[in-house]
Amino acid sequence: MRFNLILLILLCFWYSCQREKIVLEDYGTDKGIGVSAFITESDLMFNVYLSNSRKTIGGIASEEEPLTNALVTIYSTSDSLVIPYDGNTSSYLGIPSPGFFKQGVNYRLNIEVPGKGVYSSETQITNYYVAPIIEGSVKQRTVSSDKYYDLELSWEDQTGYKNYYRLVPLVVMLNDSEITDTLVAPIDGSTILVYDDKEAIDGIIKVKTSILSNTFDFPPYRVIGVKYYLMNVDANYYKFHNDLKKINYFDQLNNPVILQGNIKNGYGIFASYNGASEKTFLLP
Amino acid sequence: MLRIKNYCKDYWLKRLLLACLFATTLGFTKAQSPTFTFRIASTPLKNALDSLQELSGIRLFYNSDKINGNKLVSGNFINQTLPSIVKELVANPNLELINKPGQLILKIKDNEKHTWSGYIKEKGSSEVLIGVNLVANGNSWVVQTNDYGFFSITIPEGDYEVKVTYIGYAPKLISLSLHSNKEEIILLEPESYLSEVVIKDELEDKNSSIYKLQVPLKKIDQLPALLGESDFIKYLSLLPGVSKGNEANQGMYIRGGTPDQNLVMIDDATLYSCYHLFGFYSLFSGSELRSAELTKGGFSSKYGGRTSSVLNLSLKDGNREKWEGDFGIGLLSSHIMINGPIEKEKASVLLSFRRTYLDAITNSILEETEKAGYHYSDFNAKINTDLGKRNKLYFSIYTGKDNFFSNSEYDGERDQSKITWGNDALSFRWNCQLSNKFFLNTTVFHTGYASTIQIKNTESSGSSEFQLRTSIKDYGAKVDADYLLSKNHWIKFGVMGTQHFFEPNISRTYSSNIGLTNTNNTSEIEATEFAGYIEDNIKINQYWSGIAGFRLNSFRNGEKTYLTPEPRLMLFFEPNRRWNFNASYTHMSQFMNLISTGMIGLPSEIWVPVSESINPQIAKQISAGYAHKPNKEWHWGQEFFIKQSSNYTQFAEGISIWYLILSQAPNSGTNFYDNILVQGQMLSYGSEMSLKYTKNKLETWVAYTISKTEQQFDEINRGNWFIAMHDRRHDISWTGIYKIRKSLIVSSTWVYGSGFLMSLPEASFTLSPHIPQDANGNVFGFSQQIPAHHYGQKNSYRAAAFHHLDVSIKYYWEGKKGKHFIGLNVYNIYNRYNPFFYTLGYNENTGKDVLVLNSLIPILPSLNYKYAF
Repeated sequence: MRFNLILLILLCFWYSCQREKIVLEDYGTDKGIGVSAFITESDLMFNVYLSNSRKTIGGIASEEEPLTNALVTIYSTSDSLVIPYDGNTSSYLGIPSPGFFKQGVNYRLNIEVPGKGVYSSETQITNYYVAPIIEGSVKQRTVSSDKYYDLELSWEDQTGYKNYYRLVPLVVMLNDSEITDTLVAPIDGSTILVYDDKEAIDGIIKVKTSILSNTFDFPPYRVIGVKYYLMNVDANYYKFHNDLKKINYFDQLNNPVILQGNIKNGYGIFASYNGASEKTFLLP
Repeated sequence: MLRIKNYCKDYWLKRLLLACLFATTLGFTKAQSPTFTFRIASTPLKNALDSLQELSGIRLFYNSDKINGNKLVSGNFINQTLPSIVKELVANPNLELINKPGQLILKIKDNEKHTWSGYIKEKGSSEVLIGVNLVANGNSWVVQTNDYGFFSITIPEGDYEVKVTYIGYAPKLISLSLHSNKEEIILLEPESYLSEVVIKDELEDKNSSIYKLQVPLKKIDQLPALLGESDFIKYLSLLPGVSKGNEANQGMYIRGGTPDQNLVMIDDATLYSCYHLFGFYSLFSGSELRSAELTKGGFSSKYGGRTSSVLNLSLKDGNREKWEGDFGIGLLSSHIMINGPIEKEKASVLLSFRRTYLDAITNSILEETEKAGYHYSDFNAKINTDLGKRNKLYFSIYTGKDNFFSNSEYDGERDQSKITWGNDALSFRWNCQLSNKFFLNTTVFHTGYASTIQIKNTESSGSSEFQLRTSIKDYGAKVDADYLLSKNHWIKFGVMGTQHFFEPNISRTYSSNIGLTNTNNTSEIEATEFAGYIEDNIKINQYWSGIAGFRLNSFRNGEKTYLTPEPRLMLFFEPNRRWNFNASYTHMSQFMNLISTGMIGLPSEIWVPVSESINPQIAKQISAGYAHKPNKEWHWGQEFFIKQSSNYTQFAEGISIWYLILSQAPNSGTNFYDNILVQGQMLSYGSEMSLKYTKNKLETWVAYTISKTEQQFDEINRGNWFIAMHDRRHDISWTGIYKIRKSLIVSSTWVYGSGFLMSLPEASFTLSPHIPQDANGNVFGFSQQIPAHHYGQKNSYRAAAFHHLDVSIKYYWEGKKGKHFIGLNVYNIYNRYNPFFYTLGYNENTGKDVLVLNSLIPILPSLNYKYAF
């Protein structure tokens, strides 16, 4: 009994062992803002997403501390476009004049934030060909009461170029009471699917995706299909988002992912894509 | 006139002398040899010969070492010829004198050679002793016992004084009169715990280098013990060049290597994990071990398969003369060890068992609805027997297991978690002394390691469970031979083969509501490893010696076979007893990788073999060092090293052990790991230093290592070089042992290590993925905002340094039937909060995010008791 008491005291000592706390602000340098901007030739609107960066680990910075006073300008070799804050948490929205975004032209993004500094980046809309999406199989399976669709698609990788791709799966819903009324929404708004042409086997890249249709139950709308957009993205975009998708925020044991951005003085990415092919798969 | 007379006299005398010498130099002439009168007392022989040379005017040629020029000679020679005087002074029957005009050459004829061989054993138990040095007078030759206590040397016949020294044993001087082949058993007496002065180690008698460290197992009990548990790995960490991970990780980090790069062998069987209690303790307390030797560079070609170090452990054979043993009680565990003869002088057995009672204690404290506990156990057994004079059989077995469990019940919901891991090692060895020059050892062995993590939740609506299991099993055989080709060439060669069975990861997730949801069963991987080696231990001359070796490994996994040639070279220069120098080049390869994400010694680690796309690790190391022993008290040693490793393997960015458990395993199969592992380079360089002082009752030493370890992976940290997580820039340890009196010892240790490295988020920000627009500029739906953390350079934050001071006082006394030892230990006496791990947290008072250092062991006193009979 006495022995146990001693051990209990020791255990208490153990648990009460003082912890040293280092304020994160005292560590490293915070550059101030995060940028997410993506241009293409066909854009009729151009969004730049900005957020304050901070030494915190929780919450969505752009919602809690929206960055509203930045002066955002995009310059081409001959023109410029000012992109004002659109009133939403992180979005700056500009309407480019027709022909503002063109292939083969260099663009410079310039962001001035009062009290913080000037951030900039450059990119070019390169000229790539995007092959059409080839429909593969669509299979349905039910696990308990959940209805899953497993879809398989592929596309031909154009040889002779270094290609990176982004695939955007969108769910298509039909209003049963109004046959012309359809809704389209991202299947997973937080995950960006990017591919390297290294994944091509015999020149073909094959992708499997899955959709849990229950999550889109939105009467009177019902899921009728999945629409895919396939974009040819630049290397900066691919590397950044490929790194981003490796991050597991719930696993503190994982090897940290070192993000590769291209914003001078800041964080994030300014990149381009070119061409997009689309395909809608109708679900059985 | 007188001066003229004297001149004439001297003149004629000189003329006469010259004439005599002339006559001597023309020895073949009929003239008689000139004679001399020569008197000398207690003068080194070489000085006496120099004087004689001056007197006679005849040049004497000789090799001072061969004629033992330092020996003191005396004599009164009246009217004797020069050869006669020389013969008497040299007093060597093999002396041959060769006359040449104006010269006399002293040549020692080579004697007929004979082989002296045998075993060195401990007096009182007949336990064979490994690595014992036998040094002949004048350092004319040195020989060491092999892993089975056997020695052999072929030398010219004659009489020798041989000093036999071994750490923890009283040095012994023996007179060897070798006139034919001779076999003998030499008994060394162990130093008593109760001796008045501190136990001397080999530095007393031999100026040792620090690239190879012999653990004085008898000293382990004298050092402070955490929770009263003696541990030989703790002793190792006090030696130069051996760093510990952190408080909860006894894993050894040697010359920039990681713990999986250390080859740990117990009686010739490999151990894959040698720690208990999440890394606090090693598998062996020390009392069951006969020897422990750690090599950090200049590896023998006999060893392969790991790139960083070799820790060779041998269990005691067991006393062949009488039954003896000990048992010890600590706060955490108890152990018992007994050994004794099965048949006196012929066969013996050793049995040892250790178990913790932490589970019993925690269970008695915790509520019925909350049970948690941990226990580990070890069992060792060894039987050996002589089969005639030249054959011995050994059978050794080790089995050990750790078991952590936690059960809680609340509101009808029950959570159970269990982590188990353990090792088995078994070896059967046959020692055969084919001749007094040829020694053969054949081993058949099996090794197994397995760990399982199991978490189960049961509630009224059903149950869910997930399980991760990883295991490795080896079956193999090897033959090692020692052949004494000549006094200057000791050849070692051998072959080995191992069949490996890996189960790198079997994870299973089960939910009763939806049936079996996920089984990621990476199929068992079978791999075959073969190796052959040869090396020559060469004695070049009195000062220079070396080891030249070559090892060839082959490893086959599936269709892929890797062949790795490994040249090894060591050079030693010992100009005198005070200085020695060494330099080495070693080439090592490793065919399996322990993949781990943390520094914590959890069994969250997986052994993965090389495959089609995972290449073997290759390490090339160059090291050089010296040791200096200016007098009996002081010893100073230093080593420099640089090691370059390629194909070092890690988890890719964003991957951890939980990925293996929770992932849907889209690429399950043998190449599953190909997608989550990356390979890169590692470069380590640094210097190790050791300063030791021993006098009478005091023994103290300081070990300091300064090193840097960098890594580069194409897929990590944007391909840039970064400092390795386990980089220990400065590592210092101090040890002091003082015998206050015969039965009372005070000891203290202080260790300091630079903190480990980690990556901290420098900033977090938000991203918003773009949704494509249609032709009218409509975007589809909304895009979810994604938080992103920016880490800057990988491993850019160094944790707080790790240091603690421990003290102990031990009291020994002899009872009627045995010896008693009681110790009071205080760990971390100044209550340093050493980093165990860090977490990201939030300070409510300041409203700021903080990095929280979690410490583990505060100041911790403990008692331990041991009884030996």
